Amino acid sequence: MGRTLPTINRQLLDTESGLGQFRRTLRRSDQYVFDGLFAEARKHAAAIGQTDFLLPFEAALLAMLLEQAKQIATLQNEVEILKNRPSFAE
Amino acid sequence: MEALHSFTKNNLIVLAAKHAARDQATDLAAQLALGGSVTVLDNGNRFQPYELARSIRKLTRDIERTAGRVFIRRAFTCYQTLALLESTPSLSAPYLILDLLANFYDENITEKEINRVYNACAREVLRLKHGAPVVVTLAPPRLEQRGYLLERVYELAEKVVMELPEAPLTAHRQLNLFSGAEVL
Amino acid sequence: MQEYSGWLFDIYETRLGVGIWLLTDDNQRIFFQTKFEVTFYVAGPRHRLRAVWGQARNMGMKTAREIKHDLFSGNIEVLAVTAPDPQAASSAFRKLSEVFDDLIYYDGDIPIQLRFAARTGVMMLHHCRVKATGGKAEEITLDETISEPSLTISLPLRILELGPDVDPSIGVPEKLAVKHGAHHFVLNLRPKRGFEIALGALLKRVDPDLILTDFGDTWLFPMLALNPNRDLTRDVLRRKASSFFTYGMVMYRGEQVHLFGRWHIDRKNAALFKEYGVDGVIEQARITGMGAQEVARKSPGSGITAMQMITALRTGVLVPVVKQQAESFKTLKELVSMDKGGMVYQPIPGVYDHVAQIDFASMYPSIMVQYNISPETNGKEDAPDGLVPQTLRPLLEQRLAIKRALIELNPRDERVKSLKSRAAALKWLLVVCFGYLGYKNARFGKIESHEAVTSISRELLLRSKEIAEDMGFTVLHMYVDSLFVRKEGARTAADITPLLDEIVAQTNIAIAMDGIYRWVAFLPSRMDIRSPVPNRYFGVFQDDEMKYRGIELRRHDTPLWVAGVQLALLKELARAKDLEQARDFIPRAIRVLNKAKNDLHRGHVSPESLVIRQRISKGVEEYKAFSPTARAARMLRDSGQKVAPGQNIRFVYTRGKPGVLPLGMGVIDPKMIDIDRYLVLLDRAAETILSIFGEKYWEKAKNTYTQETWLLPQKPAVKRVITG
Repeated sequence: MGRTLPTINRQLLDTESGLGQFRRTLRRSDQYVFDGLFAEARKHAAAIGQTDFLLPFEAALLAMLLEQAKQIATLQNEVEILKNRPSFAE
Repeated sequence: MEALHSFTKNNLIVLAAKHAARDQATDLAAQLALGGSVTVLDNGNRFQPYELARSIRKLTRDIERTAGRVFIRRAFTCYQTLALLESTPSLSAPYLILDLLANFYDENITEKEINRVYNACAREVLRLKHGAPVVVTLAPPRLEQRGYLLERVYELAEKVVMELPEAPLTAHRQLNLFSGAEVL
Repeated sequence: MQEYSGWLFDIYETRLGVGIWLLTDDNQRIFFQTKFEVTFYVAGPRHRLRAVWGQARNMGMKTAREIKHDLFSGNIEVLAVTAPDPQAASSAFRKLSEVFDDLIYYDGDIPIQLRFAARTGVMMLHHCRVKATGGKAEEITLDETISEPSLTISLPLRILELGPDVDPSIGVPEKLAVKHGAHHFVLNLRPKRGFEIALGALLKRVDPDLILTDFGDTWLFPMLALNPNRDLTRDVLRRKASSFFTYGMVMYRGEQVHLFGRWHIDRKNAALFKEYGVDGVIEQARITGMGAQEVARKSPGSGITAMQMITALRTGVLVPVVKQQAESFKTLKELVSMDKGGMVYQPIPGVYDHVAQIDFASMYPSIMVQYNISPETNGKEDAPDGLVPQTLRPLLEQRLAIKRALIELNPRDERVKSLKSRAAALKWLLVVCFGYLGYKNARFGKIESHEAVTSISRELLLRSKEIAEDMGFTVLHMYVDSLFVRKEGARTAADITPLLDEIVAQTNIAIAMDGIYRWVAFLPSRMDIRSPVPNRYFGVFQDDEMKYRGIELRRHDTPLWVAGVQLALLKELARAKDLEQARDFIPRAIRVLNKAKNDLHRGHVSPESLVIRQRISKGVEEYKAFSPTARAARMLRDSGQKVAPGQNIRFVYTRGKPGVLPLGMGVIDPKMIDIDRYLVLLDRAAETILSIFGEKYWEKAKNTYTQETWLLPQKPAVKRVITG
């Protein structure tokens, strides 16, 4: 693929493992969600790579926010639909 | 880090460790960049740009400006190492030469030729040392029969810091250059 | 003086100069020699050159001061040293460069085939005319009437195939199988003397142009006393075995035996030979100028280097003996910005229908040609055609010509196979040219050219994504040079054509549709099912062809049996006409899986198909962890076999300790096989295929198989053993 620098995914993994103690101290159920945040960020590895950030983690945080915003939008949509169902309105 | 104040010219320090003291070199580059320019000559693809950025971030919030003071060039063959050294100007800012011998283990190049190229490189390193502090990192030799090259590099140095197999180079990642006697 | 016409078949150095073999139009094989002076150049301070001048003249060389063109420095003054023949030139170059080691040398180590091609215009395996008196050629010219790109090369090659009855690294061969045209027979290897006499007689009778062997390099020819050359004045050329590091991998090359006047290709020592066969070798030789024996054994990278050297020679550019260009200074920020690879746009895992895959044709080389990326044109606007684009253009054109020809032909036409091999051979050259034109072994490369190419490629993919989205497509996945797109209602090639046209218009790089998938599954990471992974998918095209990347089936270390079952599972699902139907085929796939497990338990699986093949990257001693491969390698070494880095280690998993048994160390009894280990491998491969349709399907699959359900009153298990 033609690069001598490590990839963005490698950087994200490094950051994630650098947060090892943070994760460890979380409750088990929280750890699952924590892992999910990084999984979300990895979806956007290409976009993160396109930035020239010296600290790609900053762009990764944006990616996590993006995914959260999508989830919120989806939930809002579903709530609207539920609210407008006749059975719900009663 | 009072040690860095005595990090002067005519001072060649060799760090010999696994992975060519990659992490220590990264931290050193970060510290040096705080105080001015630093030239990095990377021979074994040891340079870790993102790690360096993180290291700088631990020292200052002004990453962009500090990072702008780190200048890198890379070499992938021993001839390129020589070309790199020959074409690097004599400055007063420190030089960090990573894994100097990385490209000298190509079995397709004869001993005689390797020696010729090494000697020419050594002359250039001595030239650079006249005006600025030089740190050379080395990794364990990839070809046993060329292990003598490390000895030759040690001879150029004012100080050699080696990592023992049993004990890591330092307990934590901060490098204290003048911590005392050589560890051999 | 007589005139001959035919195909240039072999070139090598002789005492007179150069010797060539011609495969004439009237089916003769004729040897000619011709005088061939060779010149190399030396650059440096005037007083040093004067010293060289003196020495060179003492050696009997001709000398002259000349102005020649260095690719980076422009026109420079050099000392030209001319020797009467190639061997004298090599010797003079060696001596002078040792004594005057501070100077820069050019054109000092160019293979004779390439010099010949540059000087006469006649490349290997091209048609030419020779005017000669006796065995001495006076004039050699290219025959333009059979010119590039000629789409049917008909070389009347006489091929002799030889192979032992047993792999010499596993057993002791007793017989040699011989194939020549329609004749098949067998020679006994013992008594040795009798065998050599019979083989010698065979060579004389058949007079083959190509000896195609199995293990000829590493076993047959090294043990022979007889001379298999057509040119009996010469001994065979031997090369040592070696391990070397390239492209981040350690590779191993066995010993080699090259012939004169005749080709020897060892199928087992020519890594890419099975990709394109003899036709591919000929195609590569024709376009690179290298001899067929070299082409078959060396990596395609040397072919690219050869092409570059010929282009340099032809255009008057000096070829430095070693690469000396160093990178310019970059700040940390610049480094991070510029040194990225190709675009990798993660897919969202899942199964999708009516997805079109479109690929840029030979993207990196095309970019180098279209955008004039060459080490000396770096950063220059409106620079004249660089060395790299000049080198690559004929390669791209030839590949395009062959692909066009293939489209025209009926798939059953007998020329199709040959054309496909030739296209594959060219594809391999194109695939490596990116690495070889910027990386450490290129004479002229600069890493900045690399960075320019990947930077442009990312930009082109992003632009393509924008064009696709503007046209209402969703981009599902992008990987370096290909895109997967989908649009509701877009189901045929005609629906995709407008997209292709617009992309070509805006990027200037050829792009084509690989196909439209009926359905395609993008697979998640094994570590975390929520994480995407690039270039890992499987699917079925509308024409029923399957395509898969990154799954066990594609990996070299997957045993044949596991790969076979995974493929069978895929085939079951591939029958589905659409996504909905695919789910209906899952129970059938599960039955296939369970039958395979049962076969294993009943000993119906041959040990050969359970062999794991892994390459070791270091010497045996260097392995600290006790991985199965390391254990197997150690066992082999301890039993006296040589085990070099880059070699493949083949073994099966066995019950108890040490848990592995390498091939070649004795009988493999099916009862020794560690069945549970293989079941784990199989489950993993099956999970890859089935779980993407929903976790519940995979859970179901796992739960329907128990050994008891499947074990029926049985016949004794088939006793199949591999003799070692």
